[in-house]
Amino acid sequence: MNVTAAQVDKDYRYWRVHLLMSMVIGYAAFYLTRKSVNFAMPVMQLELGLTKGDIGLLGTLFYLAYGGSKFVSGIFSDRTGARWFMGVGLLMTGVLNIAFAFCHSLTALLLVWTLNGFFQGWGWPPCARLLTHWYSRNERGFWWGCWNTSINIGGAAVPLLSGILAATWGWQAALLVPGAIGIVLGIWLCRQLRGTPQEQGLPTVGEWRRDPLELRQEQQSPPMSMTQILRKTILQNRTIWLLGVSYVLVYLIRIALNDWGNIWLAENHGVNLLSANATLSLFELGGLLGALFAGWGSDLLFRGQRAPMILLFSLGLFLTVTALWLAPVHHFGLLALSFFSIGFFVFGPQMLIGLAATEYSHKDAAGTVTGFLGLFAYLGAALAGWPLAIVMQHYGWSGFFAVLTLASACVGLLLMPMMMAGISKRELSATPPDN
Amino acid sequence: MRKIGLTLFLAMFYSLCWLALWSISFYLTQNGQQAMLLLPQGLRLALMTLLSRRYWPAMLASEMAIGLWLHSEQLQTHWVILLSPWLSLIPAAWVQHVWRRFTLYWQRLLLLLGAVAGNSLLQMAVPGLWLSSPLSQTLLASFTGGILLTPFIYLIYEYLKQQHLQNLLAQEIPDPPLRTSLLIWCSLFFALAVCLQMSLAPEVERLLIILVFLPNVVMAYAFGWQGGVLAAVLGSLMITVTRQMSGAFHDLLELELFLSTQALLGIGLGIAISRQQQLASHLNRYRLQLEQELHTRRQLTERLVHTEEAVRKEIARELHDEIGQNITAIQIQAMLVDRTPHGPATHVAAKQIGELSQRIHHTTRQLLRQLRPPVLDEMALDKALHHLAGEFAFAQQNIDFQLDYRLPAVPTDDTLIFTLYRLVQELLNNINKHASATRVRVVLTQQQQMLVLEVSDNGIGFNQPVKEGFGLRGIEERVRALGGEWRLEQHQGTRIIVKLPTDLQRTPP
Repeated sequence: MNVTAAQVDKDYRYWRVHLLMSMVIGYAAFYLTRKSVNFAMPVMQLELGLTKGDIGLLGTLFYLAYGGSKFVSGIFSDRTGARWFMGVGLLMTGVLNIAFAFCHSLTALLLVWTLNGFFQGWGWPPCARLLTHWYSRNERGFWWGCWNTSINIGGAAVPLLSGILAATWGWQAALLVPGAIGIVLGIWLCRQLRGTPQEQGLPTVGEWRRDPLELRQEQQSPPMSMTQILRKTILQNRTIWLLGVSYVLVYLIRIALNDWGNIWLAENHGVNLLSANATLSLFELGGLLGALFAGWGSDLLFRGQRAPMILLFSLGLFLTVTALWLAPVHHFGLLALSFFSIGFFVFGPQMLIGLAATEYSHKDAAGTVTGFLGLFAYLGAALAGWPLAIVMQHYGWSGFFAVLTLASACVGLLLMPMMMAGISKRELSATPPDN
Repeated sequence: MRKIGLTLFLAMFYSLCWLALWSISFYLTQNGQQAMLLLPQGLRLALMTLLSRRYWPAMLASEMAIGLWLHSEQLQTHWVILLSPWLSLIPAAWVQHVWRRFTLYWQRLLLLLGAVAGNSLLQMAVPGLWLSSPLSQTLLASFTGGILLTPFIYLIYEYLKQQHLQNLLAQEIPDPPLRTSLLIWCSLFFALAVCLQMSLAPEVERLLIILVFLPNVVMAYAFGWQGGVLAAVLGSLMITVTRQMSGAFHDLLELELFLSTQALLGIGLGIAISRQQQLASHLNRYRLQLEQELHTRRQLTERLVHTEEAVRKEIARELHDEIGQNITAIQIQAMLVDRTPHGPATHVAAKQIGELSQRIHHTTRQLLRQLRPPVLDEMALDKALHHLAGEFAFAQQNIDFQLDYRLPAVPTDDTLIFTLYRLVQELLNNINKHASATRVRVVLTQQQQMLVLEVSDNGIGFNQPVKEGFGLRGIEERVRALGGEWRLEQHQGTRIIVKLPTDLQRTPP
């Protein structure tokens, strides 16, 4: 190391903030090009004469493509460590959004949107890689939470933006504008992102922060080939599987409310489209706070242990989903607050599970493991599409909510054995931190 | 910074959960005020009790804010209900005050139950009087909410705390509040009950009571207070599901009564079982200790016996080798003196030396025989016993003596052989000296792992209790130390039955 300690400090401080900003903006833009269609959907449905089954199919195909792509691109991103990866992905989604606006047949719509799902998968893994390499264990909750806000910023901005755009210029505008933004930001992002600290000539973050837990993970992550990493630290890791299964459920809840929430509000409570979309923005706002508090709380209350925080949040999630289900009156304020609460409680676990997964696998496999979890996540998301539509056809909205409530109860139950057996044993068997 | 953050987090978490609980309660009660009294009570009381007092303002503030908002939205209509959180401060403060004095889970759970009861009485007394619902309704609502949620939150709190501690200390802590098996059984019961409900509900509504109470009892029995608490929560969930599906428990009072009864049953039973388990574990610990004590005591006595034997042997050898030889020398000397002609005085002296030595010799032999029966070194036990009997010369005294030796094999243990021999010697000695008997029987048999020695006579017997001087007492102690039994019967003579374990090392104490 030919750089002085002061220089290292300065570089680290600069890049950590800088990279976080770029990632937040970039990932929010991904959301813009991903969700653009959802909020124009109620209008599209009428204009193009689509059925609920069609919408469900669109969603399911998109999420399957997205989930699969996340895994593949996770492996690719970890192997090459390419800096341009995220930017190019964003650019492509922008182009596809514009293309989508000019499609009229159902087949074309499905094809373009599935392709969009594929390129959407290029966003997550580079972010996970950067987040695990630039920030250390006992503070990562907070930084990851900050980054996670981009999901919610994107998620909150999109419905408002597309609601306004669709209302004033028709639903095509709601796709064209995000598409253009995606292209511009994609090019910008290619120039902004960097590789790992080592590639910048800096020591690892564990050394810089003197974080024993982080150093331990670095020690437990010797250089291995990608197939070995995949087999040993991911596929044969019980913790990752448990996290994956609970991720399915969390995503099921999240995507179900995100995609069906406005329709439910409109159908069942007679809320108009703009208010319904505004409510979904509240959902995202709640999520923003939830992710921040969850990440930061787990750093602070449980010293970087993620599982206890997930447990707390899943209890809250169970309560709030039940409350929304049983919401007794057509009281808009109360419904909006319920959506806000669910957002708060669903994004906490959603973020923490991803975070925990990177921390319980190989350090160089951050992108891969998040991609792997992405498979689960978008399995959940796909379940929220067409299968949930079937449930609704048979049992109506109460069936829908019964499924969600059951799922939220299972999240907590699934995590408990992991807390008891998986994580604590793993932590115990390793050398204890000496601070 | 840290404190502000935590306070904010708590306020957020608390108010969101509170609101959700309120919504659920509203669904159950269809009444804004009663809803505030039902489930939110439990959450508030538990957090107020478990968290440090510096978070109270945040909780109170968020609850006030929600209360005001609900009032402005006409979801609740009584101002007096806003007093409710302030009232909960009283039981919470009381429990916090005595909290440290009680360290066991179930004791603290009882404290919490006390707080729940106190809180519901307060809620009934103050806001209850001004509410439109009957007093009993208010009391029951806040009691139900408290008893459902407070123990559950306590369980989660303890669990998280212990997880945290475990990570901090990097060691396993025994008896974790939640075990995987507990969770699995709970979920299983719940799923089963819901399935049964779904298939049977409209026809057999009364079956529900069994479906709810049975898991409570079983879980409490199997897992103590943890099982009771979890089963109570799941039971209430199930009741709610039933109400949703089949429309049972339409009367609110009935519902609340049922909810709190099943929760009380589960938790109460759980506490009782936990207490019992604790007592049992104490008892077990003491039992083990006692067993240990007994074992060491036995070992000690046994070693004492062995040491005694060894010392005897040593002394006997000394006497034999040293004194015996010396005395022989003196005798030879005396003979030499006797043979030299020096007159009658020398002659007398020499004669006296001779006599004295004779006497010492005699005594020493006597002593030797007592210390360590030389016969045992020379012959087997049965022969030695016959020899012993022969020494007493019973036939000359017109005593009918019979020795019945019926052991299949000679005992291997030295200590055992000596003890047996000495027993017979001592007993026959007693009979010979004191009993004036005309018939004596000695029977030696083996029953499974025990050697049984039975010595009986038709003599005059002796007064109980046995006096020290008899030497019986010493033998009795020796027998007991070796793990044997000693029984004395006096009926037309005396009968002494001694049982000794054949294998001294392996017998249980």
